[in-house]
Amino acid sequence: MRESQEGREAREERWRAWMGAAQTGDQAAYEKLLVELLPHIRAFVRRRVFDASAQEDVLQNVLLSLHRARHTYRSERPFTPWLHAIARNAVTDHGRVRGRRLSQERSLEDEGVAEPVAAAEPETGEAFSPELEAALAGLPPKQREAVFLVQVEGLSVAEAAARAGVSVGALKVRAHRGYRLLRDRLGACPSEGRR
Amino acid sequence: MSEPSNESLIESLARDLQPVRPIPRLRTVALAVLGTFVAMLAVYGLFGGVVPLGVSGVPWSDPVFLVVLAGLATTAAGGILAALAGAVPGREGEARLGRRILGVGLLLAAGGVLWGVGRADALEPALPIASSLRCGGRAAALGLVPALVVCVFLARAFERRPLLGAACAALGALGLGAVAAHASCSGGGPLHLMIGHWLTPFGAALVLALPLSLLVRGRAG
Repeated sequence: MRESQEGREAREERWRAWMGAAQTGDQAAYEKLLVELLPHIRAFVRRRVFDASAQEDVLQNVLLSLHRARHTYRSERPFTPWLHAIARNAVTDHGRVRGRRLSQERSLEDEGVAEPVAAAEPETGEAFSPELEAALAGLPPKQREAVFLVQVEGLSVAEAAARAGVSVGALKVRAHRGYRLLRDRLGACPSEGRR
Repeated sequence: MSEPSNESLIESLARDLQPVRPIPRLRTVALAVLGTFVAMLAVYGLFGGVVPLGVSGVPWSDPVFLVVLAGLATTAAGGILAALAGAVPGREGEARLGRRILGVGLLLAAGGVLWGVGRADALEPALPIASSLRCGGRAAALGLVPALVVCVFLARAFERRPLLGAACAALGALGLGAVAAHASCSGGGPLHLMIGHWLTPFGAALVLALPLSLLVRGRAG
C-alpha cells in the first residue's frame, strides 16, 4: 500500500527532529531513527543491488556512512534526499569495488589462501598450522585484528569495522593488506609447498 | 547476515554517538572564501602589489579582455560551487552544475584568449615568459589561501573524491586569483593573455590539486 502524502510529511518531520537530536548527542533519538530507517534503506538497496548476499552488507555500509556523515545534515534541508544520497553512494561504491574484490579473491583462491570475504568457520576450535600461526603473529596489529575479526570471528565487514572503531573502507584496506602479507609469507614458506 | 547483526550495529552506533556540530551553510562558506580572497587582495595591495582598479591602462572596453574576464569569473564560481557542493550528501545536483559551469568558464576564457590571438595584427615577437609568469604567479598567490579555505571545508564535510574536490577547489580559487590578475594587468599581448592569464594559473591549479587532496584526506582522517 502506498504511503499517503501526510504520512510521508510526518515521517520526514520525525526523521528531521530525530537527526537534529542525534547531532546534539541524543542516543535514544538516534537509535529510534536508525531502527526506523532500516526497512526504508533496505528497500532502497534491494531495488539497486540484485546480489541478495551483498544487500545486507551494503545496508550496513549505508548505516556506517550515515553515522560518519551525520554532521553534514542541516535541519533546514529535507532529510530523505540527504539519506538517499548517502545510500546511493554506498550502492555505487559497492558496484565499483565488487569487481575489484572478486578478482582479488580469485587470485587468493588460486594461491590457496582463504578468501577474504567468505568467512572461515567461526570459532571451530581447530588450531592453525604453525606456519599460519607464525604468519598471523607477524602481521601488524591492526591488520591482524582485521583478519581475525573477519576470518576467525566470522563478522561481516561492517560489524568488524564497528568493532575495530574504523570505517568500513579502512577495515577492508587493513584486511586486504593482511591477506596480501599472509599470502606473501605463506607463499614464501617451503613447508606450504607453494611456488 | 541476519537481522540481529543490524540491530547490534545500530546499538553500537547509538552507544558510541558523540555530539557533532553541523557543517556551515554552503552560502556561508562561499562568502568566507570570497572574504578571504578580498583580504588577500587587501594584504597584497598593502605590500605594494598591483590590485584591480589600482592601475590605469586596463583595457576595460576591449571585448577580448571582457570575454576572458567573464570566463575566468565563471571558472571561479563554478569551481567553488562544484567543490563545496560535492562534499555534502544530497547536493550532487549542484556539484554537477558547478562542474558544468567550471567547464564553460574554462572554455569561455580559452575562447577569449584564442580570439585575441586570432584578432591580433601581430603576436609578441618573443614569448613573454617573465611577465606571464608574474601574472600567473600573482593569480596563484592570491588564490592559494582561498583554496585552502575550501579544502578545510572539504575535509570537515564528507568528501568522497578528494582529488576531484581539491581540483575543483584549486581551479575555482585560482580562477578568482586569475580574475584579479587579469583585471589589474595593463599590458601584454595575446600570448601573454594565453600564458599568464590562462595556462599558468590553471596549470598551477592542477598541480596544486594533488597536495590539496592529501590535505583533505589527511584532515578527514
